[in-house]
Amino acid sequence: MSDSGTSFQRRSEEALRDTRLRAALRLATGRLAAGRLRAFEAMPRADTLRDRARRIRAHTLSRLDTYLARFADAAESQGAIVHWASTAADATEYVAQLARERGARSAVKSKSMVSEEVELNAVLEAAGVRVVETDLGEYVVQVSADTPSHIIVPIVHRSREDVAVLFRDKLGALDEDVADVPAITAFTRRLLRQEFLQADIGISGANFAVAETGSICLVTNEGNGRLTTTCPRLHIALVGIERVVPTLEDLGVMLQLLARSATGQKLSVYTSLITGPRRAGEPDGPEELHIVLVDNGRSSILGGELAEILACIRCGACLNICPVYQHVGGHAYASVYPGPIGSVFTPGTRGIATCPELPHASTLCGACRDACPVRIDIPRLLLQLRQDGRKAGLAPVWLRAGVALYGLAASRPWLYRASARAARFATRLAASDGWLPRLPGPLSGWTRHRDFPALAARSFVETRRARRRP
Amino acid sequence: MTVQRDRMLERIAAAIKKARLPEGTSEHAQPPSVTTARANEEDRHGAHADQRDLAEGFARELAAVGGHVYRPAAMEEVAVIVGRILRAKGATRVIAWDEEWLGWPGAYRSLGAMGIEIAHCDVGSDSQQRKPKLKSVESAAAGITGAAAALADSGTLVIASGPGRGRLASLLPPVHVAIVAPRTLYPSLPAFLAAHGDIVESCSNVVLVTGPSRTADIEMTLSLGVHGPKEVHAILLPDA
Repeated sequence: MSDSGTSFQRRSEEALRDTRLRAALRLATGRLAAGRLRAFEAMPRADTLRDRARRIRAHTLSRLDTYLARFADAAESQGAIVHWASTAADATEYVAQLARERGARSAVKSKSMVSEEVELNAVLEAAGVRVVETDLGEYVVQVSADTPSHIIVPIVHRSREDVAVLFRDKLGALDEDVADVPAITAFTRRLLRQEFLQADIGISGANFAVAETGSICLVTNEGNGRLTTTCPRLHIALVGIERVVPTLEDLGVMLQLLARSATGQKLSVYTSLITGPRRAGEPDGPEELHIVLVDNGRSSILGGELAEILACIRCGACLNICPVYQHVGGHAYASVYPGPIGSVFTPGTRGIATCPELPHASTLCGACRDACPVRIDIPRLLLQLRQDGRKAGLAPVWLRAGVALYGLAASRPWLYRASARAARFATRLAASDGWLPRLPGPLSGWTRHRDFPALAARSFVETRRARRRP
Repeated sequence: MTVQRDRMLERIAAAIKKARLPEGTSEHAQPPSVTTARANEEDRHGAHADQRDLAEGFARELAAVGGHVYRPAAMEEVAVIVGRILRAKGATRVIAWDEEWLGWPGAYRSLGAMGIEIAHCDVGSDSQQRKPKLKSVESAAAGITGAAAALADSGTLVIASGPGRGRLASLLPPVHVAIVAPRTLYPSLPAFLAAHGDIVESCSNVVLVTGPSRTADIEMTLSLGVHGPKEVHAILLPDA
């Protein structure tokens, strides 16, 4: 690998030099991970529930066509209009067309990862619709033309001072409007409330879609999800095809795990179950509900080795626990979904050639698998992707050459023994206090950030032989 | 539309045949809910728990997430409690559900006696009128609603929409007062869904409210009332 490294490495190195970012990441991931542990310790039968959730997700995926059709039929019978979008363009074009037909000029949005994935905002803006993000974190991201760096806490990388300066410069906030976090919160409430009241469209995602009732389930803490789906006369929900669960009972299982895994709450503040638009006699609610079912590469994932990743419920627990994410944060991944989940989902949907380095952004320690509420075997999926990358000829030359050399030695015991002996001798000769600060040539990448230990004087086999002697 | 639907479903069906899913999945011809009946039994068993224990659990959990709980011994005290909450806010106008849905007999008369104006928010069917109507109730100081149920293990209020029961009352104002009728307490969300899941189909909007609106987006600092109500007051009515 060249000295400049891959772009992931370059971005991580930048992140690692940013001491303020690292302090913010330490605080946020530490607190979220600790909250999750406390919540699960206090929960009776937590492991049983996680096993059950895993079975529900796997079962649903194994009959996804059936459950999706059932969901669409039920939602339509409740008055919703369901649109099927194979690609990102299908989804965004449908929403833009709808906005044009209704003469919409503005839209409020509650946080939706799918909408980030299909880059809906850009398409709507191009269609002349002003889009306002309403989740506090997402709003800051939008005002600063930034990108989110965490699934649950989008501005984990920004400080309060950053936000204060931004709001003063871009939104004309006064000093007292941004004096502290409660002041910023109150300022944002006043500003965005006006947007909710005058918006023509409300755009949301969905955490789950319930097949038996045709309901979408939306979880937020701030209440922006409720305002988005209540105030404007038109509600459009973008739903990934894998969000479906068969029954309300299954939904109950998933909801007990989602908030606990994400923030350590028993339930998020608002869990909305939306079944069709406003009905006759109801005083409020949207006149129209459009549900856009988005594939955008998900069926390609489903038809292969990575299918399990579609069981993900987007809680972010794997980010908070990942030693790589904890140090470099979300932007290093340059992917809508960062962290372990993103390192599988993004290459899975977009192809390994678009981001060959992401599956390597992991120590394979398995902490993500342990933290995952539905026990997705993320390390296995990362290894699979590494293999796919190698097969596609995406592995760097030094790695291919190194593996070939190792293969040569490993299949010839005499050569293996001889090279091991040479390596032991050489590393012990070059080491000071048992560590090598620098390795030569192509191996120098390893020692750029850490020392390499000198090899032991005797190999394991030699030690074992010596012990066997009476 | 149906062409797109069929095409997408066909692609998914083809993918499933090649999918590598977690072991044992294919054996689950029945939905997992059937295979885990035992766990459900435990959930349902809780439904018979003593209402008093449930009320205590609910009060403890809602307080833990920043809500306020009141347990008047007699119906007459409800007006006193509501009056105290509204006076503390200097409220003169509230958005309220229709009286029959509040579970608080004489609610409108009591509010009127306190000098509180009751705003009804019907956004109507004329799309020109919608935004002005929304704006006209935005300044209400509090929202008063009933509740379909309350969940003891999480301190959650179940608020269901319908005629006379708008969504805005528990959403727009900075203060939400919910009147919880006796015998509507359930131990947990699964227990409630098992007993009353039909509410999800019969109401277009069911929201589980667990405490006041909150955010910790900035530096993990907790802050209340960012979009929804900053205060949530639940009044548990006494048994008749």
